[in-house]
Amino acid sequence: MRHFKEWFKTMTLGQTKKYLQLLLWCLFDSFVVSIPYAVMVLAVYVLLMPIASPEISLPADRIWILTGILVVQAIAYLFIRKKSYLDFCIGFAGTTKTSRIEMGEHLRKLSMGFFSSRDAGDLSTVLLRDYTEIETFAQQILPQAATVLIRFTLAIIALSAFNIKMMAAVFAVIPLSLPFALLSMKRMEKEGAELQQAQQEAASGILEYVGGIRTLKAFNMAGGHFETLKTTLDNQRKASINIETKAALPVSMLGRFTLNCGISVVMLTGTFLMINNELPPFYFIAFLLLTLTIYDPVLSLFTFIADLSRTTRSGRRIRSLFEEKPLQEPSVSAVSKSSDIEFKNVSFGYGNKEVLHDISLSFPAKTVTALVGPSGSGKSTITRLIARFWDADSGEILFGGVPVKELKTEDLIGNISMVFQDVYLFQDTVEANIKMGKSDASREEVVEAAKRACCHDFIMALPDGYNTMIGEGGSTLSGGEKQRISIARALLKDASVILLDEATSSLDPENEVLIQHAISELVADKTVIVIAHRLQSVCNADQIVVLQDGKIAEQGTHQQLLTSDGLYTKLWKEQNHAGSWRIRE
Amino acid sequence: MNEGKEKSGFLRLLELAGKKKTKLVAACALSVLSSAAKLVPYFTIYGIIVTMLGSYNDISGMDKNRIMLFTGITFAAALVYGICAYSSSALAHTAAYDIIYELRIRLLGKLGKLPSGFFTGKTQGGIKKILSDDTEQVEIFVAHHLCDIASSIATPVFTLIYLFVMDWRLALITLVPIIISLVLLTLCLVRPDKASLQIEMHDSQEAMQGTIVQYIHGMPVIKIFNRSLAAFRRYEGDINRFVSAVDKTARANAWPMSAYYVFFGAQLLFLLPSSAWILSRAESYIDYLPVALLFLLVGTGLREPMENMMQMVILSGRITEGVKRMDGILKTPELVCGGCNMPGSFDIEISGVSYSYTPGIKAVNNVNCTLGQGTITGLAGPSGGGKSTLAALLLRFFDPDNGVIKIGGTDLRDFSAETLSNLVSYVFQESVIFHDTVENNIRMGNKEASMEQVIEAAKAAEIHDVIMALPNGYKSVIGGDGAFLSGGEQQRLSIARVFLRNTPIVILDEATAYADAENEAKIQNAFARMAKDKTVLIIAHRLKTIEKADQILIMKDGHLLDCGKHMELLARCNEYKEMVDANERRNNWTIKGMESKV
Repeated sequence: MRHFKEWFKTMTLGQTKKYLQLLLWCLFDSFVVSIPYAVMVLAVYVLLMPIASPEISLPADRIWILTGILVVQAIAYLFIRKKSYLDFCIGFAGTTKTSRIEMGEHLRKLSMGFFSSRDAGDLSTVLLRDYTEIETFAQQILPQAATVLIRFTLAIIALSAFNIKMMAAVFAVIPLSLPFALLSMKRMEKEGAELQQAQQEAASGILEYVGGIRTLKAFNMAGGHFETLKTTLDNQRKASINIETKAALPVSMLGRFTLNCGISVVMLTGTFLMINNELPPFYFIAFLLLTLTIYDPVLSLFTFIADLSRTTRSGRRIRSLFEEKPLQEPSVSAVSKSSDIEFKNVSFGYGNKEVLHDISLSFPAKTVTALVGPSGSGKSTITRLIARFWDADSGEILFGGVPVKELKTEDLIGNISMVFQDVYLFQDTVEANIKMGKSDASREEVVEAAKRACCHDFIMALPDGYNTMIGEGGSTLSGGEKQRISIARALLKDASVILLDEATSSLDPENEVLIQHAISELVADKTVIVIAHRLQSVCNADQIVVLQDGKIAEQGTHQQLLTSDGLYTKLWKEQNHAGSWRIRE
Repeated sequence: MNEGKEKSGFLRLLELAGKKKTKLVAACALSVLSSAAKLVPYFTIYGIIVTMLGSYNDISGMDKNRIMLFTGITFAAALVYGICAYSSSALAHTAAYDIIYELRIRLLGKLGKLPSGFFTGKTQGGIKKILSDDTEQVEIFVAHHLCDIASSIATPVFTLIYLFVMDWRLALITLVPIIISLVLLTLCLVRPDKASLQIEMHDSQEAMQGTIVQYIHGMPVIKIFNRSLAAFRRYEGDINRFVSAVDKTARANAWPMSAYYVFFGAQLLFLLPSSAWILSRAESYIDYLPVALLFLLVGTGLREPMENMMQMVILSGRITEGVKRMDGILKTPELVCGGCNMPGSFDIEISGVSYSYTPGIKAVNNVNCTLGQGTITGLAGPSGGGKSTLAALLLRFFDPDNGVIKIGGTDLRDFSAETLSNLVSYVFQESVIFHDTVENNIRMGNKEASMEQVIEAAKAAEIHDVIMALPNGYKSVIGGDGAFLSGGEQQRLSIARVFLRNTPIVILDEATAYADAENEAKIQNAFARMAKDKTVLIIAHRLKTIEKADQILIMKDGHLLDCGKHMELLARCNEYKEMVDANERRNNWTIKGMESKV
């Protein structure tokens, strides 16, 4: 039962009360819809009166009363249905809305680390598809369940008043058909797992094929690789067909058959009872008429149950997102005195894999520190810990003498600008994108920042200048232009600490010169920590930290490191050699 | 595919269904049968009531055999219903998955035959969506909707015909509420102000989806700039806007839609008084009573199939979009290849070649040049100048709009696809590694190569040592077996492929080398080895690389500005001089300014 409660909470997006209200109204709606069936039974009774007692003729007044009831029902239902209709369109949209907004507020509080470790595409799928899935499901199952509940209750009450044995006959087939529904559900789970496997293989197969198509074509291999993919797709086809033919068999054929047998069971029992004078003829007719409306909703409900596992998965994904814990925040921010940054015996790992081991480092204010080392050595983890993407597993990170944990995120982040390789631009105007750095900046400030970041010229060449829409459906910018926009943002923000990831992707020299120029503007007079790929550009940094396997291998200025003849010297020589490479000597 | 009239939507889908049509027709027929079987109890109950009427006041005199017959028919109908519904659905699903499978195979096969340029400017996600999601739409339509449409149209139609035969007056009455509700529904959908509400709903939904995606994808930026509250407000605002559009539409439709539902369920309201009226005027009450009862029963039974029919009509419009996207692939013309074999020499001759991605803007504009066999040609110029397009044309990703490219005197278009791929190879910037063994990944270059040749290629690409350090050496499955390769290593693996291919012409992109600083030198070494004794075109970013090339092409704005040796260009080409200068400045830049140069 607790299990069910938990499940129900998940599926109702935590708004159990609201859902119960909606369900209650659905019950009422179903009740009113059922009235004509009762009227029909009564009408048949009235129509049969001249037959039952040949001396009387058709009592027209009663027919009119019944018609009157139907008219009242129709008018009343017009109003009831209106509310149901609005509930359906708006009520469920409302619950989804509330939960989506709560989710937005929740996501906003999660750490940067959360967003860098999760695939953004997956997260948006939860917010878009999973919510819709739940909404549609609730829209379908609630009224269906309400109909079943109401019809059963009414039928049980009315029919047991007529004859208990007949009532038993009406409902006998339902427990008989239930095992088929459960069997289908079980089979569905088993076959479903196989199908999922096949689907995953097919999906990654398709992705590999589409992603590699140019390579495959260049090697004239599209055909051969295609054969493997064909087998994978065929497996998926077979698994899908299995679900529909084998797994669905019990409920689709046997369940349906058993349920619809109910009518003949009622006919048989009724005839038998009637001959034994246990059942008046009219009661028999009433039973026959009412059985017609009982079984269909049950069957629809069965079909939904088979679909349950998919929707439940959606619900779980939503809940598990809500269960992500944001980083602890102090209610009042401590005051940092400067922009000195210090690592004291910091260790950190992603999951079980420790990537930084006992790092102690200081980054004095207004100096430039370069982080150098092979990929995977922990360079970007260091910059991310400063921005508190995550908290260190052990040790302490101090910002201006204060542990970063004691600063409110907005105060910490307010002091830091990050310029990374992958630049995200919003589907908005150029100006709005630059203004990310400072929301109340004037147009002059925006233009000034754009000029310093070498953006102004290309922006003015866009169709609407600073008001040009960029991103999807708008103007597209080149990689170099995007990077400069991100530098303009950072310039506008004017934070005292700059975390910089030097681009590795190749740009033409002119573009790179412009970016270098923009960076020079940005870093003047700041505390700078730069992840360097080209050693030449950081050879005059105040300190160079060489990392290897999450430890500090060497540390010092360019000159000091060259004299010590270690890893840095090796890297420096290699790069100089590569830099003067010619394809033909 | 048939010429002339282009089919769309549903008809085109049937066309795509091809051989599975028989299965589909059978499935539809079974579906009609099953829903007919579902209506049987309405008639048998009617039959039983009529039987009872004959001896209503003396049940013992009732024709029991007749009642048993009706019971038997009801039972048989339940059986028929179960069997037909199941086999219809099974058949329809089998056909649907068969169709999807064939569609996917056709689409994938087609992708293999399209010019590589087709994929430029298209995201992998977009193509994958067509292959997975749009084809799945076909499943939903074929497996579920198609049969439902057939049965939900056939059942009410047959029933109505039967009712008309029994008594046309009451049959007309049965139709009244249905017609009223249909009129209401049409009014609801067609009125112009309602249409504008629909548009607003659609637009605000798109806006909301866009905002949600940006909210998630942009969250790191949003947080860095402390703008999460503002972004959240927008997120909240767009969700509210969508919901209020839903709200508005729902309110506008509430009355007519409710009336629609009321009339749909109001058969009894119309039938009861009219049948009582007819009954009271009938010549024989007892003779006409069964007819009246039939209408009361079947009239109410008609509601559900009619409701289904309405839904189906609305649904059937949805398939069109997906079919259109699939046709976007299926109907793209393939490259036509000639049958010419290897030419005698490997000079490349480019004459008067132009190409535009978008009409009016020439990415390559009237380029003329010759790349002699065994020479090295450097290709330089600002980004967007047409360097990669020229390379793509050489690889026949596209065919030029004007002009002609010849290898050894033969037009590229006259080579067979196989010959061309044996003539020219290219190291892609994004290295594509397949989920397979290291050996097979290299062997893509040449299926017949001996193991020695594979190893030799790996050595030439400076990847042999890395491979030997993997748990199963050349037999390791990449991505599994604990065999993971870094970006640079993957790059070198794909270079090994090209070594094995050993084509007389190679196109290199220098950027490939320094996408990975640590492997830069190794990739450069591999490139130098590859360039030996071949016709080489190298796209250069660092001008030093091509200083000693036999000729350097300078491209800007699609034009070939100049062509010559390094010294010649320095002397006469301003653009080249500026580029050399920018190179110099870039290489000497330091983060702390110029004052302390090393």
